[in-house]
Amino acid sequence: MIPLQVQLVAIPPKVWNSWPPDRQLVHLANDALGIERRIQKGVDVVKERVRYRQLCDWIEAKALEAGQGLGGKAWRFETDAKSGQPSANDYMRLVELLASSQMARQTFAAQRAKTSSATKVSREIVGKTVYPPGAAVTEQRQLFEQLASGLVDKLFPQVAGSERKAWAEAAKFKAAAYREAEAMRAGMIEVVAPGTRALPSGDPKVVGRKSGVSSR
Amino acid sequence: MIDVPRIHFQVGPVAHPDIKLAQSYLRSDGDKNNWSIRRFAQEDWVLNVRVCRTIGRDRFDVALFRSEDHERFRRDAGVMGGLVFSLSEAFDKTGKMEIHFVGPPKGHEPDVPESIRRVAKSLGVKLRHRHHIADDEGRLLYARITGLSDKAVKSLTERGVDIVKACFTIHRGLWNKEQVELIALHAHAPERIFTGQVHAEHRVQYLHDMMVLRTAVLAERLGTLCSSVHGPADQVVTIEWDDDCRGCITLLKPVAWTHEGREIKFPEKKCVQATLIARDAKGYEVFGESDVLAAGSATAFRCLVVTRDFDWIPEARRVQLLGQASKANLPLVQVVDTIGEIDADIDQRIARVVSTRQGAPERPD
Repeated sequence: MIPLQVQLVAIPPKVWNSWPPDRQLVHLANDALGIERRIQKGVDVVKERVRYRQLCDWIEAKALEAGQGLGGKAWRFETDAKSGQPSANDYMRLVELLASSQMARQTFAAQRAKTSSATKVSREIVGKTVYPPGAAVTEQRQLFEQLASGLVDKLFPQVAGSERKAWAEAAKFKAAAYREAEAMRAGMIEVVAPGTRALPSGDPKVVGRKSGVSSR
Repeated sequence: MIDVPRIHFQVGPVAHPDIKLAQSYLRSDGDKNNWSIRRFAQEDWVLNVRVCRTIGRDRFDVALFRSEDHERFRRDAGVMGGLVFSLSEAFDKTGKMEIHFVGPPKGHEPDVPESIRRVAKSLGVKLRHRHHIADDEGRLLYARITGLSDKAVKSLTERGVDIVKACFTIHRGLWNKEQVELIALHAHAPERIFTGQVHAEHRVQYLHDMMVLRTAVLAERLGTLCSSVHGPADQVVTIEWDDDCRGCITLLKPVAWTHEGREIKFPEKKCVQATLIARDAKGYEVFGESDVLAAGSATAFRCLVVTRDFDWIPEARRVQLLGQASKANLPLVQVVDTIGEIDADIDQRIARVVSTRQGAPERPD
């Protein structure tokens, strides 16, 4: 298990619309949506994927900057969660499963169809890192509120109860963050970054087998 | 141990009888039967010579398979090398690991060579047929020669990854064995990596996979850095992974170099706990302090490995982080690549995983 951390950064609307000075987050987020659409259509997919990666890296770096001193607010999942806080790995696992679960896709798609929205939102419902203010944030809040209040059990009945409970906690944490962001009319950017853990004292515990292959 | 002749590539034809014999295939048959000569050489020493051909996309023939040991290399290194390359080529050209040995009048190998039988037996693989290695035997042999740990094999098998495909990526030089171990044991979905399904638009999953792959590439760069001091021929770098994806790096020879006035020293034959963290400049600025604290908390030899992006942190913060590392007596190793370059390298490797059109990374004679 690789240690990681996920920061949910709420960007107030004023910052979202006016910062960074050269090209604002509002435009960068639209650019990202445009690239997603082009990839969906199969337009120059290889180059668009590289552009998408670079653009999201940039947006996420700017989000970290905003979270530090521009009035943004940040919530953090970590691998070594403090007591009462959900773990980053639980959150990631939940998102991965939701993205790959056919049943989850159908449930979310049906819900989205009920709520008509004029705001552009990503076609994928989970697994994104940029959520512009408005409908996208609201949708995430609603989804994760439902997950926290029993949808996890319905979608993944085959998973052990303790694991489902941990996922529901993670969903609750995210829903609370998005609720606050919604109240601020903020956009949300999720930053997934490597985490670090203090080394245990004594000999390191090693997994895998030692190999004698030269580095070449 | 028998020395094989040193090859002087510029001088002309090689005098060794096996190589002469192999070259006679080209003279006698020309392109008519599509025979190709392959050789497996290490440090200019030829350890294996073989002659092979593909018929259509269905059959892979070997007409000559000769190997010799050399005191610089482990016993049967030539047989294993030749076998791995032959199996890779058979897989690449025919989609299966079946090798037919051709005897007179076309070839010199009427049966599966004794050296191959010996190696197979030592690896616990019983070859059932006299004239050919069957697909299932070839696959098992390939996996055993590659030498992935049982844990990694189990993990890959559970996730539905074809173990041959994983081994093939190693022998094609896409990922090395330690990297495949890391992917097998720590990636959330190794099957995505081995089927090239790591797509940037699925951003969260992509980042999750990339974190493991960036760690793997950083470890490779660290190995290259350590090898470059003595030359790759003399240095052996081994890596083991702990539960937190830290690399335990062991070197055959000690290395020391200076980077921007900071001396970096690694001892020989001792585990150096390398914390490998790939971030962009903003990431190091924000999370650098916790990286230094975590990496510096070990009592054993340790180091923190970072990307070139570390140079682009605001100067005051950079000096502060370097000061903290120096206070903790933590060597900070910087590789030459930026995170963007590492990502581009990873994208390229992932794309190549799905393509098997390219032959084994070996020079035809």
